[in-house]
Amino acid sequence: MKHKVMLVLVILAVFALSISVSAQEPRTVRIGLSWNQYDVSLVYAWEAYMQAQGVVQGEAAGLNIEWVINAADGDPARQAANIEDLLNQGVDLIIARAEDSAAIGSSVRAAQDAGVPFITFDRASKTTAPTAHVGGDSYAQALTTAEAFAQLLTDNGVTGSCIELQGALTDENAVNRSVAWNEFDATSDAFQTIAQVPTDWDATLFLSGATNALQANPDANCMFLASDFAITSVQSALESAGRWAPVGDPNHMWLATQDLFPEALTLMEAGYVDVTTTYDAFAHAQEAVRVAIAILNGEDPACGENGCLVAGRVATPETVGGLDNLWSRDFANGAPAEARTVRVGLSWNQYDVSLVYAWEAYMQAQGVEQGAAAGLNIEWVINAADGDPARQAANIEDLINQGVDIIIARAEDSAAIGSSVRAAQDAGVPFITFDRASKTTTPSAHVGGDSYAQALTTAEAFAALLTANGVTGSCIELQGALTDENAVNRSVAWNEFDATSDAFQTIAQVPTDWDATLFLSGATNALQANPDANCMFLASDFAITSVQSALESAGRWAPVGDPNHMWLATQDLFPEALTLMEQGYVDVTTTYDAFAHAQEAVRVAIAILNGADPACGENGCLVAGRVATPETVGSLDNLWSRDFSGS
Amino acid sequence: MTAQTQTTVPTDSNWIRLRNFILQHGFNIVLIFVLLFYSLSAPRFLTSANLISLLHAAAPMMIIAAGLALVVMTGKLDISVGSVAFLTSSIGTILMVRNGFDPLLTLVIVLVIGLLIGMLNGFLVVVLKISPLIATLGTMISLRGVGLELTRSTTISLPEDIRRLGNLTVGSVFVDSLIALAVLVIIHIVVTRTPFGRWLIAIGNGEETAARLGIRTRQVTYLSFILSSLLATLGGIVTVIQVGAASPSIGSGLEFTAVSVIVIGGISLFGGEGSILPGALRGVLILEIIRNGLNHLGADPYAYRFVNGAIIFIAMYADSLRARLPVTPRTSESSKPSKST
Repeated sequence: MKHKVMLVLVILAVFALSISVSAQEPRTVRIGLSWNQYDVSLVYAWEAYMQAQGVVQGEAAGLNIEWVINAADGDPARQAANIEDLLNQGVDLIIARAEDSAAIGSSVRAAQDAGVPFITFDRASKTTAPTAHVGGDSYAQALTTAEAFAQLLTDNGVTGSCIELQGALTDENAVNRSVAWNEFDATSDAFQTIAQVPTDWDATLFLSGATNALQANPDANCMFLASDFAITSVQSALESAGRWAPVGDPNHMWLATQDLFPEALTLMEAGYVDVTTTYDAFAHAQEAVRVAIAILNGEDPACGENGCLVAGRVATPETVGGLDNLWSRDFANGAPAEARTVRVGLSWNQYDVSLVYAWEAYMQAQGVEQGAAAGLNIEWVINAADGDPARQAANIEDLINQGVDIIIARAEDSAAIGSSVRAAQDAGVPFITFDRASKTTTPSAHVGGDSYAQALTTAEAFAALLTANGVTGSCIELQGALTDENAVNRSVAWNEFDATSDAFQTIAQVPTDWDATLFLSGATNALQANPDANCMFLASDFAITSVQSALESAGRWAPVGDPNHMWLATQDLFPEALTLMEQGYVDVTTTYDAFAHAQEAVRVAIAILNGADPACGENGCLVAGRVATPETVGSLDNLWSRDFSGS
Repeated sequence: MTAQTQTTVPTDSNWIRLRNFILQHGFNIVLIFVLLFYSLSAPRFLTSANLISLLHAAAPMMIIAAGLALVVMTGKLDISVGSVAFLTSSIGTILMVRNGFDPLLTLVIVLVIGLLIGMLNGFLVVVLKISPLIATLGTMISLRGVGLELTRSTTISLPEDIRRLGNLTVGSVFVDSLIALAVLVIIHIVVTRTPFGRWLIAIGNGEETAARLGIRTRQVTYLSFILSSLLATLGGIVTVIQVGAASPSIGSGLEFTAVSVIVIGGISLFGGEGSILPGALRGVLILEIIRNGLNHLGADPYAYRFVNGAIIFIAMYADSLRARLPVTPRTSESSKPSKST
């Protein structure tokens, strides 16, 4: 009898735990997406970016987002009918880019009557207020361009005499851009607008308008284009006038543009376009999904008076190469061809850290995004091995038997994975090792973090920071597990830099075995032994709270600016470290960039699937991470520590 | 075999006395030697602040080792303690952070969960008669899996007012150190002054014999697994409060450290022998002092594993010798019952 009672209690306990676990299962929501038409490649970019963001942000918010998409071929009545269809299909929320900003109002009302939230996208409703509006901030976009352009001219000792090629003056965006440009002009001595030419967003009028203005103003040395979709028209006009020359050439015409269409991107990279602010399809899509999730969760999306507006990013020839998620790069070929379906097998060693969830979501998102751009429909076949190398080998065998086209695997055992690599190669399936390289067999490619470069960039930035603050560092180094190649690389990089720099000196090294309790005791002990230490290097900040406790015990937990501040350089930027960096406790880190890893893995996979060389280095396609400080961390996109902090 | 050994070894020789002395007090000698060495080599080692820090760092392991010792004294093993500590402390953190539970209510819930897990372990070992190593290996793996799923492998920070408890002191001594010492004292009293403690040792010396003596071996063993899980839960709570967050690394590999502590503390893995005070406490302190001292010396990071491994090897060898040489006299440290209960 007692045994039965005991068994019942145990089963109840397991049942309770199972309920807790099942409570974590994502909730499925359906979002209706109504396009006016697939009139520009931007629409394909928006759609792919939204689906990708749906995976990433949905995963982080515990939602499984399903999309129901239609397009109206430029017909407002058809769009109204399409939205009615979405309502009948029981979608939970609608996002619509209106063909007609007035006519969309009736659809907004219909949705509201049905209790379905409605987000207008890119084009606001002029008649009925939707639940939210997401779009570009065209005024801010032009203003940032004007500011950057003025700075550029000043830096080059040029006083600008500019021709302004406006858009259609019936278009609110075009008007806003012109207003912002001219308002800045009125306050700045860097340039003066000497001619204004309306173009009605017509490429031929861009050509004739630019030609005429150049004839009328031969002394003009700069131009502002309200959009660069017609940059080739301006190129023709400048060539005719003998003024088409890259920066550095005496005949160079200084060009400020808006949007950064694919042609403008190419010309900026070649040095012909000097400044632009992107029409940021990625940020628009990201914001639309964020707002949708907030509304679906009953939260306030915290939009401004005119909606949730995205200003875009300033780009110059020097910076444009470092800008991620440019639709003009990702969708340079415009509308994708009929997508070819490929199956990518993804073998995880285990879901042991939250990074794995982030990698998976980012890879799926990148699969949608890069796949769309490359004309591929990527299907994922995913399994995990619960930390067992033999199980992982069997899982990979399963993937091969299921006929996947390529395999990406994060090895549990860097030696044992070699047999799986060989098995895949024997079956003609390309194999990418991810995060952990194979020590025995060379795969088709390896994608991972560059832990040496990661620590080196941190050390460099940290040294610069200490020097700028007049501090000579006496640092405690909290190492990782010395059986882990990443931990060793980070320690080597830190100490090699230390040997060449006077900015700091490592006075104690403490191994932690990646154990949070050893971070605590190690830091406590090292602080006891070295009370004069004024800085620390953490081989990973996953256990930053342990170090926080140790520093609190030692009376050294204080933000920057406080005399008791312990200067902290870390690696990875885990969620807790992100918070503490924002509060001024952590001074420098280099991210372990899950997004960039996933992006690179998908890029390499697509290249291999297309028979192209993925162009990896000797040790593989390695991602170094991004340096972050309290001043810069807020502007870093796609931080897994922010995107997955609540998962 | 025993009779043969006794006839071939001259029990009155100096060598035997020396051997027995070393076996009985070897780790006390090691402890004294290590303390002396570090005190002379590291100027800040023998300071009150450092010794208090040392006790602070050792607190969770003192609690967990005390519980595990009860199981080991019966001649069995519970290697799920690390996962129990991880799972229960993670559940507690989630309840407080994500569900807004009251900390005291959370503590009760978490201890009840720890108790239920102990019942599960006991059920597997006592009722289903699964080998303790295999049974607790299974729960070790599965409980960590559940914990990782619940936390999604993320580190979950504690609320600030709870996190601050990790550095709470009475005078200059950390509260968690006092709790850990109190737990050791209580478990020591349970082992040495109660029938339950004597039954544990008796079962460790021979389960069948103990059963013939009227000891309810199944119930006692069952209870030892429950206490082991309960104290692992408490140790997990202390750990998480100390580090300020429920981290996926909590309790990972802790079972091996705990077993090392048990062995170094002179608690035989074969059962029936050992003590909480000073045994388990000594085991915890030796490992912690070595780590602390190596930190103070700025030792080569690769030396830590070697030194720890060497200490564990010596302890295991000593335990093996004690098991093979039954002439070792009983001492005050041993807690074997002097008479049947």
